[in-house]
Amino acid sequence: MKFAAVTACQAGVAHTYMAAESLEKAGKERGIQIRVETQGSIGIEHALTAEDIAEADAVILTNDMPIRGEERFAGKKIVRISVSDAVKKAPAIIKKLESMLQ
Amino acid sequence: MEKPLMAASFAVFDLEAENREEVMRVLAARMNQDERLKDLEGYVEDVKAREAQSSTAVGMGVATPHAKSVHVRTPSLAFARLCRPIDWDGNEQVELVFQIAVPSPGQGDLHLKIISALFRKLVYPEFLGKLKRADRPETVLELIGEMEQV
Repeated sequence: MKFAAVTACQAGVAHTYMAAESLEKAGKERGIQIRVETQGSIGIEHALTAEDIAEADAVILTNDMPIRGEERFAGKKIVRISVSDAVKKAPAIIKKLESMLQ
Repeated sequence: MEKPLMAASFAVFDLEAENREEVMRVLAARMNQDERLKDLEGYVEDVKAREAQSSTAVGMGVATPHAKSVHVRTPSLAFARLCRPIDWDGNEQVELVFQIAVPSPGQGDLHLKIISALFRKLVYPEFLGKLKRADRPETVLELIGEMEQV
């Protein structure tokens, strides 16, 4: 299973990056590849490639701020979570997604 | 040369505080020692306003109050370890606090990159353990990877 994600938060300074790392870490722990694009005050980093998106079984988007380029995910299964849940509950979110998709 | 994000005096250990506003004020005052803030009160109000929108407690006993604010002159980071955990938001107990001050409009990406790298590390319990055991400000500076710049 593969996931793609985009994280963004209001100030774009702290939570965007913690959320990204939490999701990546939770994925690693379960042997799932998660590519995470960050949309913070530095700009967009680790931009998802067309391939990342095509291969993803689901796309996780944080819902605190509008996500730039959301049209890229048309037709994909999209899961929206708060950036703070991404930080605090990434393992549970990944696990739930896995069981939903199985 | 640009000032590093954090000076040794911005790391506070065993801080006695009753609530989050006290912590925010202590850390803002430390930052202000170095004239990094244009307006201490204005900055604290901006941090409180951000906190009121949604709590910056991020689990694992960590909170990250912050503001990108016109009242900030120099990008800065301060750290507090509380002598006992406090109720941060009616929901989470917090004992480690990283507080950020970033000028608005921004001043380039270097500091933001350091901050984003730090926040990525914060999700690792081993890193938090090192912060909990740190007994000198220099250890905190080393942990956030600032030493090369000082």
